[in-house]
Amino acid sequence: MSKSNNITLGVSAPPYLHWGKTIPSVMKELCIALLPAAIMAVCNFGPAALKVIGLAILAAVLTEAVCSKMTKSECRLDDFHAVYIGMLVAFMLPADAPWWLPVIGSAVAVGLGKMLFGGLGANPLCPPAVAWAILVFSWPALMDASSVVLNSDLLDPLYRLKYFGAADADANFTLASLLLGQQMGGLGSSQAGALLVGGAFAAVRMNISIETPIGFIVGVLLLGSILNVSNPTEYASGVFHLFAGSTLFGAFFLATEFGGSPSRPLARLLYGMIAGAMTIVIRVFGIHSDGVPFAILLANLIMPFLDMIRPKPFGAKS
Amino acid sequence: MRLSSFKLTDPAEAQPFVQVPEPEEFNVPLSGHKALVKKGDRVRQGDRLAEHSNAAKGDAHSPVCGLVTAVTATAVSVKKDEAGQDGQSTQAELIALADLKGPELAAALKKLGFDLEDCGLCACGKAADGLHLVINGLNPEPGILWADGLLSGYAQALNAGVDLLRRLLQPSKVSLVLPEGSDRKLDGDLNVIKVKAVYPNSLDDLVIKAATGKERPEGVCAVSLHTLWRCGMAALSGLPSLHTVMTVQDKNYIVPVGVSLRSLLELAGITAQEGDFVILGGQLRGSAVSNPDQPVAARHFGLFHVLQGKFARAKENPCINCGLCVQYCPSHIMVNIISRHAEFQRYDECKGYSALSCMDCGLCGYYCIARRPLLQYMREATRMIKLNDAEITKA
Ligand code: SF4
Ligand code: SF4
Repeated sequence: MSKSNNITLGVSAPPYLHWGKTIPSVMKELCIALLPAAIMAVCNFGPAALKVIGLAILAAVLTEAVCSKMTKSECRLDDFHAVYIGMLVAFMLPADAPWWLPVIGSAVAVGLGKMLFGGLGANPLCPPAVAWAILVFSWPALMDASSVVLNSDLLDPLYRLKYFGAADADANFTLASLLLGQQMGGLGSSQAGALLVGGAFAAVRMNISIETPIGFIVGVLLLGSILNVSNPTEYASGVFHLFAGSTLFGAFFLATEFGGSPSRPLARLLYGMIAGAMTIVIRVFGIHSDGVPFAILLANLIMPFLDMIRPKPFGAKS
Repeated sequence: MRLSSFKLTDPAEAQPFVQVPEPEEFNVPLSGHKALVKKGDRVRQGDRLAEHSNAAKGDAHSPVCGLVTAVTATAVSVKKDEAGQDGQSTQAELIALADLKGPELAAALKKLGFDLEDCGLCACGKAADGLHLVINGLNPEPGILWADGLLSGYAQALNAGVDLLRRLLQPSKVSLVLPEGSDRKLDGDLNVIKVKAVYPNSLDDLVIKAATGKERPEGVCAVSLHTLWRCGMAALSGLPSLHTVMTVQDKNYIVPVGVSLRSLLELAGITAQEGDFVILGGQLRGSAVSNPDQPVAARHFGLFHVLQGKFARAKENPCINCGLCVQYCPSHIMVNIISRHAEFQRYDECKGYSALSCMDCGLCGYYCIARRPLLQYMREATRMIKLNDAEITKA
């Protein structure tokens, strides 16, 4: 700042143009992108879903505040990332989860998944996926929506697929019912249609990179279809996998988390494809009926290698 | 969403250049010069006011005939007075550049106020053998508007400039890089190349790549239209570089060196309010002016007023690894990682990540959603790496 003829001109580092997107603006829009799915969750699972979302957000915000205080670092709650994480955690929980499940989930996601590594961006793994994995290992029964949500006729498509075969799954679910979230699962992560709308909004507004979800979807469709063609009675179609369970949630909102995804478009495409293909592998060959968060955690681990795919630096003698 | 399309051509370019009237008093800027005059001296237009001890840096001259009213470390003030007192000439002796070439011409240009590096010579003032001279015919940054106007309205000066540079550099080949769709021409045997008029294509590195197909080849130099015009004006007039061309907000001006930025802003009808930014140079790579009474120097080419709140302030925020800087960097380097090392003065690591490939475009800072001062980190890193390297070669 400098004084001259009574006006003080602004001084800061160049450039003096900016495209206008900042962390808070991105995070706010990402929260907005999750709203359609939140609304559908209330429609499909009742007001209990709202309680879980609220508790998860509250716990995430509080955890971040406490962690910043403890580490004496600048409190960055105003970037809305904690709110976003809280929503993501809640989306993967059953609507009738006990009150403390979202609280622990958010505390783990923010405390262990994010703040332990030094905050937003320093995290090598997707924080909500970390929380999900820990909850699934610690309280497998409570994380199983079918056994927690009792006042609902909805079926878990991936559970049906795993234990009753592809024909049963096809018989019980139409594309429309899957899109409308007529499926048992995480309260928000199973709202396929609403997530597609929100994800498209987030991508068009450039809050997430489009290559990651595209890669993810391609990975799911490709491997799903290959298996399906090889044995249609045992393996469901790629399209079924795309809209059943938390595939789209993972593709648009978990896999795109900044810390764990690569920087360049081609690398992101590959990263998405790996995560998508891993999803199918886990669903078909693993013990978990869904497994999207696991697939993403695995892809997170491969990320540093994907970041090595790059053109040679300008003018470098190779 | 991309706020700016980064176009390098603009319909506003067609407006004629406005001649900025001469003020009563000039402040000729110095930077590292040694003054040759003292307060009270009479000077003619074009007389040398100060000399730069570096043989490759231009000297400073009086834009008018008048009286030296003050000499400081940063400026010499000259007050215009009635011309022709005592029957004396009001103008310095003209220097005929037409017969000079090579090192003699270089020495003359230095005395006329030119930084030799701008003219395509190396920092030591020498020209490479068989040099390929590339004339950068694009506006350097989005928002700068003078390129087409210079090519259409000042072709005579530009041609004289090319002629002068041919004698100075004795190039084996001269190329002119123009925006796609432009049919402007310069005289002589020029190899014309068209590029898409979108930033960062106007950076010298990329212009040279367009002209040669190579990245940072040896024996190639780029000279901007701005410098070419100034050289041409000197060649035509025999006077030192006393004017510059500047885009002020959305119009082009021919500006005498030594007028204050404040008067330029006034002329352009701009009133900066408290907290607003006044940017010297382009908006991507320029610098914020803290003192509007700062005078115009010959190398200045743009002046902009940016309203407060137009962009979020850059701040030492932590990197969140969104990857946007990496995605948009035309040098294909890991700006996120380099900037984190630069932040903690780990310049060897910066070098390891090819920080020297940076072409100083500013796009990383334009996209960073954490608003990190990335361009500043990159400049600091490249500067320190070069400094360290120079020390090692010396030792
Ligand atoms: S200024 Fe930034 S974006 Fe531009 S070349 Fe340098 S590091 Fe890359
Ligand atoms: S744009 Fe900024 S926040 Fe994003 S990776 Fe680059 S430095 Fe980090």
